[in-house]
Amino acid sequence: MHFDFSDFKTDQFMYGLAAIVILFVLADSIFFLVRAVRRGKQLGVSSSTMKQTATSAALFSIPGAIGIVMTIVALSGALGLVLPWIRLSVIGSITYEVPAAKTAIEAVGAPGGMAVPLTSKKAFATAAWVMTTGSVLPLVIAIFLTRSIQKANGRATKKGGDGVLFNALTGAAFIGLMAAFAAEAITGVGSKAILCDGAGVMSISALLTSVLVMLLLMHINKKHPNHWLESLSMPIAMFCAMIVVLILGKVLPYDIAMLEWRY
Amino acid sequence: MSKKNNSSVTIDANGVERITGIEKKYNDQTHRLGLTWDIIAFVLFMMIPVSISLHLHAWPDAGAFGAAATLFIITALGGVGEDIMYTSLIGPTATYVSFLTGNISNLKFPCTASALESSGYDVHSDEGEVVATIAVTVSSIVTVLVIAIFCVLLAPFIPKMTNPASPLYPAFKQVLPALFGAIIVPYCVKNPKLWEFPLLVLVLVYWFVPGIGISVATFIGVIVAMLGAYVEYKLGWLDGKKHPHTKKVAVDTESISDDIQDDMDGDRK
Repeated sequence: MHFDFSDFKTDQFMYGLAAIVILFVLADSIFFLVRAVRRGKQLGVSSSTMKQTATSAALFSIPGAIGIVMTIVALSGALGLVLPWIRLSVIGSITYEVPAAKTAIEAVGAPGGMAVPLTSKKAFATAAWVMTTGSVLPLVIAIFLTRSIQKANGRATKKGGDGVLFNALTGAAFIGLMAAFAAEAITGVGSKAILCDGAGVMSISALLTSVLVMLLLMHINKKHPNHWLESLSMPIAMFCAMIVVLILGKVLPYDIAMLEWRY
Repeated sequence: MSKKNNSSVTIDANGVERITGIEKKYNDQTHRLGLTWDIIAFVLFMMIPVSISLHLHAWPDAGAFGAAATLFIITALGGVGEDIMYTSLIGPTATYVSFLTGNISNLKFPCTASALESSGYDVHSDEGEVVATIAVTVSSIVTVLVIAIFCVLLAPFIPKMTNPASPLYPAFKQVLPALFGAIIVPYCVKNPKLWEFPLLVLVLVYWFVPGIGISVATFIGVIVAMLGAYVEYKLGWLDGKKHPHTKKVAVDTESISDDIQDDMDGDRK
């Protein structure tokens, strides 16, 4: 197996960082697992219950983990394999990490954004900083608040109509955030030096395909609930969209396929 | 099985102090250990970008953090909401481990909820705390190992796939529309009346302000979407009930009391 260490995004140093993070996560999880099992034995929780819990949790997690791998692969085009691997293995979600990376890369002025592999070390380092800083905020909150929240019964009060408003505002905030990326694919401007990084045939095709496939998968899952399908729906929709882009690139005349109405 | 306990410290029938159903002594130790590991995790995770900067001799500009301010605020507020929610749903140990390993709503929480349901234990009990912890920790171990194995296996092929000369390269150029098209759908389906307005506004913003950066666009998107949601709520479009603005009226209770007393005195006469 040949690893390419020539790129600064995937050199031995980065793999070393990934190894440290993975070992730490394993150490933390194993520590609390052993503690819980010992406690369970003290309390008289049956071994079969604990084994069954562990087995179910393991099987439940596999499709989700594969979904995360697919997202890592998709992001590796711009950021290399290792940084998305590190970020998506610990606290932080794809809905934060990707906007954070794109915002950081744009702030530095790297041409092409996330449509092209990053060649600027500054842009890469900035992306790492922004992705990490925001994603550890929930960790900091957990450090300061968990105990107090437990004491206060950990319940957020929602009275009557305020529950509707609370849920609507929360949903709207996330929709607004993601709508910015969807809208960019419709009328966003790319760089004149880079082909197909602005709004055009390819970006619209990717967006529409992804939306339609996701709707279809959600519909199928509603009719025939399946945990594997639910966990993998997002990456499947994303990869279907990427495949459609490849097909259109081969099938359509070049001028149409590469058409960008904003550049 | 311990009785469900929703208040702070109580003493059960055996004289054992409990908090939310969990033995206080064990619970206190949980918080000490959870805090210790999470603080170490925070330092370790922040050392990653520091290490990268030292290795590459490249440091970020402050402007990048300013550009990401909207994201930081949303993430922080989301973290508060998640901490409030998950501490009561999966217990303190599982919360500490989850906030370190991530993927809470899509992996850790459903995994733990399923484990608690299968076991029959209440999360607000010593046994439930054990089951929740086993579920979250095993999920974390399996997730990180599966990701690591696949990444190591795929690592030799990724540079070839993502190289500009690769036939697959055009697909990677469209990863953002492909990704966000998939991500936004569940939110839009769940909130069918909330996505049209912000999307339309943002399409127009991108059209008329060509150089707008994603940081500004996300800020506009969040504000517009939340304002739109608030207006729709007030108009009753979300739950079918109008919620007009209620005006508070100052009432002079002292004079009313006097009036009532006068009326009563008048009646007696």
